[in-house]
Amino acid sequence: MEAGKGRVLCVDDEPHVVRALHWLLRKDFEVHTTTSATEALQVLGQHDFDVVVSDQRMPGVTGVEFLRDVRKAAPRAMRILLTGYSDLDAMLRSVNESEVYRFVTKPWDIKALPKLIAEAVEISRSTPVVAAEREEAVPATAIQAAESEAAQAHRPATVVLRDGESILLIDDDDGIRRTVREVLGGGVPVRHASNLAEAVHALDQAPASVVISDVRVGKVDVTRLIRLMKQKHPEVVAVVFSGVQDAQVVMDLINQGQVYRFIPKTSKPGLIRLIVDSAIKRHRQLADSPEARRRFQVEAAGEEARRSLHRDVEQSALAFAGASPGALAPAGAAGFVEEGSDEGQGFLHRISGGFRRLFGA
Amino acid sequence: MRLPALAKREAAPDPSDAAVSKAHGPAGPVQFRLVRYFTVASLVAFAVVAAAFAWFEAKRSDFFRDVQEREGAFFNSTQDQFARRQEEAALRDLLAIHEAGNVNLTRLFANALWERDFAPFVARAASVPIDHCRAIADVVDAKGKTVAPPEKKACFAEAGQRIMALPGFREIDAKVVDSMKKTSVFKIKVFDLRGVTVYSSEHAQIGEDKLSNAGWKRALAGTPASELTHRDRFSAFEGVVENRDLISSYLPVLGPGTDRIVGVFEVYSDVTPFLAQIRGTSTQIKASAAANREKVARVSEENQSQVEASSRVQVGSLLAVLAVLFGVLFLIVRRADGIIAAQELDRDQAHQQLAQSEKMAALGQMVAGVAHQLNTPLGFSKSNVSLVMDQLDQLATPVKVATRISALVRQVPGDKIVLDVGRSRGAIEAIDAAPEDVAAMKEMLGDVLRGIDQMSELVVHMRDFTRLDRARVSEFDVNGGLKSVVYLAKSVIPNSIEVVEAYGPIRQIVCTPSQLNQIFLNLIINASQAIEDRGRITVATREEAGYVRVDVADTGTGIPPEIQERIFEPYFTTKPEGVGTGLGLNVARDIARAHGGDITVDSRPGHGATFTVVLPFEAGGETRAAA
Repeated sequence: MEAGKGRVLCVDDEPHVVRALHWLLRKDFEVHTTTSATEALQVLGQHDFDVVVSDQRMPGVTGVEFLRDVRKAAPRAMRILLTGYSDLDAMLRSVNESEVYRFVTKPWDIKALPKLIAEAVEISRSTPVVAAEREEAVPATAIQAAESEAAQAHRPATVVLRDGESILLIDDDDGIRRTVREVLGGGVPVRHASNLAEAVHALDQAPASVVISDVRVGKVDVTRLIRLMKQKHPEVVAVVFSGVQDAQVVMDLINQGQVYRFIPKTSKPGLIRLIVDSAIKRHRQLADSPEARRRFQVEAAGEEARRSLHRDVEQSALAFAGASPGALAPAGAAGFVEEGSDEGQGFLHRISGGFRRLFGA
Repeated sequence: MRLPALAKREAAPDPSDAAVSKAHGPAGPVQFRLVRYFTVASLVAFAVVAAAFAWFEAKRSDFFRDVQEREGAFFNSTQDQFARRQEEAALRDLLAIHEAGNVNLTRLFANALWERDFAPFVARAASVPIDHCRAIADVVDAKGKTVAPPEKKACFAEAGQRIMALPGFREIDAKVVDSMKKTSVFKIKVFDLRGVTVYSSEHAQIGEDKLSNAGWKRALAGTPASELTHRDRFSAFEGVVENRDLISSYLPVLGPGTDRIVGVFEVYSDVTPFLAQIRGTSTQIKASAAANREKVARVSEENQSQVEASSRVQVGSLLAVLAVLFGVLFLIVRRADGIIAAQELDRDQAHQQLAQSEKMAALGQMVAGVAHQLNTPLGFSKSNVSLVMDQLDQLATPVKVATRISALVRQVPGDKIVLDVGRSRGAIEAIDAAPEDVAAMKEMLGDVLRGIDQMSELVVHMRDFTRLDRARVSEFDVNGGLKSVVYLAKSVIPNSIEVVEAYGPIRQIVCTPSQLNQIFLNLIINASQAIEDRGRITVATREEAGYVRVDVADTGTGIPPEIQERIFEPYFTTKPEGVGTGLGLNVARDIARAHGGDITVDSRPGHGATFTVVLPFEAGGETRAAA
């Protein structure tokens, strides 16, 4: 790739902001700034940028819309959304439409931001653009388009999985489970976990290609599982039902979970099928070119998250084993329940082992 | 003048809510006092029912009395009639029997005396002239009755003297007295066909004229005529008798062996004992009738009093039933009233809570927007200050070197100074600061100052919006308030929406600025929500005949005519459940009205909507709301 400093484009309608960014980044990067999105798109055509940093709130256009255009115009550029405004809707759209790399809040950290940009520059230069980004497998407009029957007609009626590919659905909502099964059709192997322990067990048994998850099962936060899993297994594509109202959770899911798509809970079946189908394709790309995975590298979730998840998984396992020992065990896994004198303990060990294998000690 | 009142109002704990509830008070309908209304209405109704019932009962009693009286009267009249008839019949019988007796007596008497004694005597008496007496005219006495004058009577009496003087009188008289002695016949008179009394056992009456006497006339025509008379004194054969009941019979005297009437007898017979007997019987019957009548009256009286007592009992029972009914209904109604009042209170509280939460939601949304808006100046200021601080570190060595050189220059005269950089070479060579760095730092810090200005501006607007440090009611520059509101609202509404401010020259108005700001924020945010993607909100002010007029126009979807009427109603919302309480515009209208103004909407679907707030110059707000 190109030698020399990474080329960064900063866009914000507030001139002071771009000046500050310029001063902050000028030492390490070749910084271009503009205070209008229209101008930015022109600049984008003149230079090959590694990273584009955009403000979310700009007159006439949102950062999400602008980055969506950037994704089309310069697919190689990593996209970072800078915002002082935790607009949940904007955040969800930044994932679904712009596939942003990171979501950075104002005021930014002057140590972390250059580091993040440097990392993005490095990824941008070292990893190939995945095919989906070029052909726009799930274009932003398709999300609206999928709502119409006409769009559904052009889409595959069912999702087709290859050997070894599987879908794990983590949700305790029967309605969603039914909807997903209906949407994907009977032929698609969908494993289902209704609590953390089941999810860990299922992932330990066989890796999942796509994880479709709710934010919470019961009262337990599942997003930690997704974030930790992505850290170790970037090829697993995560799709999350966006019944969430907490902007921080969403931000963590973006930055630490690299969630592929958020599915609005009220989505039509066509949209769900479309998203799952494209998630499978994304998984294949990641599985086929391990170097591309770096583009979807996550921010470290932190040890605290891992510990708290481990605690919750254990509790979930205990509660589950206590409630119905052996209920979890599919035919192949029947053994581990019989072995232990104490079924719950045996199960717990099994799950803990799975947890360690999946997320480290 | 105004200040004390202001100070007082300021003391209100949460004035905007107070204003809202106050505004609700007079605006709502007059409270319906259920218990009072029920009590009055039902008591009147019950009184009418009771009165009607009592009236019917009284009518019934009267009717019964009437019937009883008529029955009693009928019974009495029957009894009286019966008694009377009985007496009449007894008297008639008595008369008939005595008349028949007298007729027979006359026959006997006539047969015994007439041919031999009376006939010649009567014939002789005929010679006594009476026509001259009759010729004397009658007179009308003081009572209007035609009577014979005294001279006429005297004339007849004189004729009687002449008759008594006729031969044979004494024998006849002796025979009559003799034959009638010890009988019930008290007197006998004989009249000739001229009507002259030719004989009377009472001699004084001889000569009297009977021509116009009805009894005489009838007897002369062949029919006996009798009548019952009562005489206090009566000259009988055997002297004067007193207090006797007599039957006088005028009887025709037939010539022996013929049907020819030859004279008329008048016989007085005594029926006192018979009559006494009849009267005794009659009295008994009457007494019995009276007793019966009394009995009937008593029974009737008893019946009446029973009926009236029963009436009273019925009226009393009805009153008791009505009283119980009223009591029960009163309890139910009072309970219902209590429940309704409690529900009303609950609703009011819920309404106020919702209004409060609506206000808090709007404020919260604004605060969030403002907080995030602060992040922009905060972001670049913090970044710049941190950078400058880092760079200042790099300036430490150059400044140290420069300071040293400066000191040397001061110590050493002349133009040339030799520096020994032995130990400091490394440090001096490492200097990586360009003169433009200082300029850049100055620029960065200049930006920080501007950032601080932006933040100050935001704070000023927030203070202008809440006005917590100002009098609640005060002179207020609506344009200034709108500027703050628009500034703050811009932090909440999407950037794709352009906000145009077109303020006209308007005077300051006396009002409650914080409440008006609340309305303006509400209207502007509503306008932004009506715009689906891109659009424009125009906030304009102008003066209009005693009013300040604020228009908030949007280019949004507009409001369908059918719901334009309803958007100011409480709890009416077109937002999804859980998003809006439906109180925003309702509260806005309450506030506008409390200021003596109003809020209206003009909208065509597809062409946006314009909300117009009009406020009088002396709006006051709470002043009016409290009045």
